[in-house]
Amino acid sequence: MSSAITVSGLVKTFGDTRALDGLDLAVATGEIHGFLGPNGAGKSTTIHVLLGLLRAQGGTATLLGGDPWRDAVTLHRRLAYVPGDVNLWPNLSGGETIDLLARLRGGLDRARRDELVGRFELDPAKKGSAYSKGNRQKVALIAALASDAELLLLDEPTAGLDPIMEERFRECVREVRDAGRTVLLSSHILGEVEALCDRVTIIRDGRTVERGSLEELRHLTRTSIDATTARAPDGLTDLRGVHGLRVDDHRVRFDVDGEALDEAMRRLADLGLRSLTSRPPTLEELFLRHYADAP
Amino acid sequence: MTALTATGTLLRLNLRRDRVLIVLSAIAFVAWTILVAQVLQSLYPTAAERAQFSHVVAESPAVRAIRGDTRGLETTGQLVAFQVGVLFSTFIAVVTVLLVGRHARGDEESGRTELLLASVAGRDAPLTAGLLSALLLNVLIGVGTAAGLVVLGLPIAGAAAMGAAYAGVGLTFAGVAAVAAQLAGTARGANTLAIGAIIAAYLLRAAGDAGNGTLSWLSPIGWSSRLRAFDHERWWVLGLFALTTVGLVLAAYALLARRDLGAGMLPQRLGRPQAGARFGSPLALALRLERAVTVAWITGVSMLAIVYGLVTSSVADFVQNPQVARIFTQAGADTVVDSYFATVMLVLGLLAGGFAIQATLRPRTEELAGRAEPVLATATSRLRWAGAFWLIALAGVAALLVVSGLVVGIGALISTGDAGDLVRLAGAALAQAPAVAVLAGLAALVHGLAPRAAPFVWIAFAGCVFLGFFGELLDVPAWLRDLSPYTHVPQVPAERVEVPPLLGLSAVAALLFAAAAGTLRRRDMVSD
Repeated sequence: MSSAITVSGLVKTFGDTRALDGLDLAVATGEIHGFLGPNGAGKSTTIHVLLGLLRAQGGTATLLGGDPWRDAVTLHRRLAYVPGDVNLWPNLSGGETIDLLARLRGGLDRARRDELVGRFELDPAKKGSAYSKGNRQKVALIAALASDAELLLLDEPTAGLDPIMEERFRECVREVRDAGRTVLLSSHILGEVEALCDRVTIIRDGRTVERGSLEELRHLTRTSIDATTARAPDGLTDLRGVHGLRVDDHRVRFDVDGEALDEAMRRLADLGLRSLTSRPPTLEELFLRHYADAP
Repeated sequence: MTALTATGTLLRLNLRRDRVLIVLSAIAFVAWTILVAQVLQSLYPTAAERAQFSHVVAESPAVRAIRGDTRGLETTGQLVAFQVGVLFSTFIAVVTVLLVGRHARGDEESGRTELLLASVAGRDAPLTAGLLSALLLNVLIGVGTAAGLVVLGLPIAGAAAMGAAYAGVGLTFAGVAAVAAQLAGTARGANTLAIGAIIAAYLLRAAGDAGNGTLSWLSPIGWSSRLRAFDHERWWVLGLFALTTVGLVLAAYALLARRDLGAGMLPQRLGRPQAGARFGSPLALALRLERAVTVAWITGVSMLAIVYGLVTSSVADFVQNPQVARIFTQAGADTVVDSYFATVMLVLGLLAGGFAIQATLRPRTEELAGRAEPVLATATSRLRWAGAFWLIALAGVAALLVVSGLVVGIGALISTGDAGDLVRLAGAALAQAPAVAVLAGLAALVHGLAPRAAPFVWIAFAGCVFLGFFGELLDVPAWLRDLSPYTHVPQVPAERVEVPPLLGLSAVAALLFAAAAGTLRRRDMVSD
């Protein structure tokens, strides 16, 4: 598996602030990679380094086999970018902006561009100053999706989109992946990442705290159990790896660590299971755990 | 009034953000006025010397067009009012307009107003807080000027009138800016509209003062000299300022109540749904973004240039006056006219410098507004991106100088019937280009080094304007005057064209741009 992005030990400071503090990120070619973190975790800073807009002070970053700072211009022919905060030229129409950015990248697929304008229901004749936030976002998305770039860098691309447009966006991203292209999707909308991404990297305070496929990450974390037993569910409190135990007559609810699941199930079975629902952790729980537990 | 809720909080916020601007400009205008007064006091200490000076200038429509009414130049106070009154009230109007525009419209565009209005601030609060900032600035300038002149020993009434004239012009244009902010669709549009009004007021006054004076009564800048500071002050003129300001401010509030946040009263037109075939390069983008503002600058400067040209015959007549001719004993009439042209060329060069700095700093505006990012994320290098703006800026400077030089020539042709000056004056104006390019290069370098340091370029520019207008008058040391690139431009057409200084200035400009390219490549991109 070749890799589209390899970042290791990336450090970037702004004055006294350490925006990136040894960040690692590996994105394989052809995958949709979720890049998760709360506001200010360093997602945009990382993307800016990958675009050669910022120069890292430490660590290495390789993008499509090149150096993002030194080879910026040649690399940019092969990638498309959607900024987190889309600022348009107030006097240029959305259509002009899309065409300009595409041509500056190296070409415009007119048919694909028009199809996307229709799909996202954008009025391309309006001036930049007349668009709402969602419509500004659409302009940037269409400009990026209309390209045939190998790599899409999307920085919180759905901020301001309504649910229908968000669904259209997901379709488009899946099409990109099906065409064998790579997507780095920075987001804090976990439903979006869960729906789209093959693998995720979770960062916090400029450091990578978790990475892997969603499956792998789930193994590392807790499953929610909701069970009714024949006998009173005593004696579960001393079990290792059980959290948030609540006993309500014969009903018992708790979260259990991946490695303790086996043991917990055996105990429950011994008590005479009447009903059992187990739910894998959502990404949200995973995420909250990382940010709530941390010092 | 709930519409005004939180005005106080906003005002404190404004003052926090603008304190440097407000304090620096107040100090600059007050200090400048006092300095000029001091120098005039020492240059013309006696009534006889002042009478001789006023004799020379009073008859010249050219002088009146540039500096204002020349009636009553017998006391130091009157000389001060004449030398700086019109000029400074125009500059004060510009600073005030930018201050009001920023709060009444600029914040709205950047989304800050939305944030504030959605919290507890009332609808009228941002405009009110902006106007109060302007009031504070102008009161500081007015009171400071009056106090300073009194300390120098000038009559209290005249000093008060002088300060009141400054504040009156400033506040009237605060009202203009408030209305413009409601009319225009964008913050930039609002500033353009308000600055346009200042230019129009200056030109009306120039035309009025060069002629019989009637037109000056239509211009707030004209009122500042009609107040007659130090010459039997006509206090009722202050009523004109007050009425106009109140009327404009009320109109602004009425318009504000009728428009949507983020929209203007003037309708926004639709654009093209697709880009034109050639709209696909950094140069095309720079041209598109700079086109309107460049044309506006050329038009504005040309309007000034035609006035300067039209008074040429009066300059020639004025030299024929036997008393004046005695002063210029060894200089013929042609030489005097050419000296006049040389001064006009300097004014055009300084104006072109203002344009050049604004245009060269455009990539900085783009960068801070986050609009450079999507362009630099394409296959566009930083140098191609910024270089495109530099090229358009320098081409704009050349066009501005040639056109306005030609227009001075056309004015002169209408005035004297002599067509010989047309090409000569266009060329003379172009001789300013290397000096202007140095300022542009400085702006580019500051952007390359530290985009947040851009105000430094404007301070350097203010220094050039100061040295240009007052360097000789105030006997500024030569080494200090040599810092201004304009000092090195040969005073064509009064002097012969000297090639070496022009080449030298061009080389300095080229070095500055090269350094700018180098620094821009190395640093991090930033945005607000």
